[in-house]
Amino acid sequence: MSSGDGAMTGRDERALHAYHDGELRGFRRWRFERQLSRSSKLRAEFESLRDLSRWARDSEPEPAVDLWDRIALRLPAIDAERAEARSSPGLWMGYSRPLAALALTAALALALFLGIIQGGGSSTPGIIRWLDTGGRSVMVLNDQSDATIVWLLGSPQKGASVGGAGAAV
Amino acid sequence: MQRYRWAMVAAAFVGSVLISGHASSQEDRVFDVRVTVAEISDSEGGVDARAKRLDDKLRQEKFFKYNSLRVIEDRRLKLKMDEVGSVKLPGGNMFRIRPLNLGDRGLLLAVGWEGEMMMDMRAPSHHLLVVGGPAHGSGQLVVSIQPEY
Repeated sequence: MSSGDGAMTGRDERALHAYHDGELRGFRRWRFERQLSRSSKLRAEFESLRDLSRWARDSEPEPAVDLWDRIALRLPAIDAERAEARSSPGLWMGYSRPLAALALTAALALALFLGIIQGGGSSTPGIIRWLDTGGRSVMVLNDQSDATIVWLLGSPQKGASVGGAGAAV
Repeated sequence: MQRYRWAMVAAAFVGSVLISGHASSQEDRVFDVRVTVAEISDSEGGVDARAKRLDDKLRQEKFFKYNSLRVIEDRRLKLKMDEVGSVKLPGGNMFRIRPLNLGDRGLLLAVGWEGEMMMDMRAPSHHLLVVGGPAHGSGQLVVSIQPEY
C-alpha cells in the first residue's frame, strides 16, 4: 500500500473501491481507514468516488430501489434455496426415505384439511418456493404445466406488513 | 508419488477453474423477463393481442370471468443476476423482480409487489407467472412475468 501522499497503486485503488462498496471488514477495514486518515490524496480520491456515485444515483431514470427492498427481496430466497437443497434427492441424510415420505404425506394431508392457503408466510410446492401476503388470503393455481396463477383475495389486512417472516417449502 | 501429487494439484486447479467459471458465467448472464401489467374487467373492450397467452391461461381456470383484458404496460426487463428490475404500477406501487440463481429446475426469482405480496419462485424458461387480484378501476389488476433465457 502507498504510504503518506505518494502515488496510488493499483492495490490502493482496489482497496478504495472495496471500502467504498462496504466490502472491507475487520482488520482490513481498520487498516484502510488508518491509511485514509493519513493520506490526503486517498481522501480526495474517496470523496470523488463518493460524488460520482451520488451523481449516478441522482441521474438514475428508474426509481431507486432502497436498501430494505434489496434485502427483503433476498432474505426469503435464502430460505427457499436452503429448502430446495433439503428437498433434493440424496440430502435426506440421517433420515430414512420412507419416513420422510410419510412426514411429507402427513403435511400435505394437513394442508388439504385446512383448506385454502392463507397468506402471511404460506408456501406451495412446485414453482413457488415462498410466499408472503401479509396475512391476506391467496389462491394459488398450479395445475397448468406452463403457468402458475397467484390470486390475492380481499383487501390487505390493516397493519400487516409484507416481507416479514415467511415459510419456505 | 511425486507424480501423483502433481496430478492431484493439476486436478484441483482444473476443478477450481471450472467451478469459478460456472459461477462467473451465472453472474455475467443477462435474463430477459417480460412483465405485462393488465386490467381485467366486465366492461367492453375485448382482449389485447399482446396478452393472448395471459388471457388463455386465465380462461382455462373457471374462477376468472371477465369481458375485457386491457394491457397497461408491456415491458422486457434485461436483468443480471442479483439486479433488481422494477415496474411502476398504476397507483404508484412498485413491482420488483430480482434473479437470484439459475439451477436445473429454472431461474430463482424474488418477486415483490409493494404493499401486496412478496414471493420466491423457481421458473423454467417461458413459464408464465400470473399475480393478480387487487382492485383497479372497474376491474382487477393482473401482472404476468415470463422469464426467457
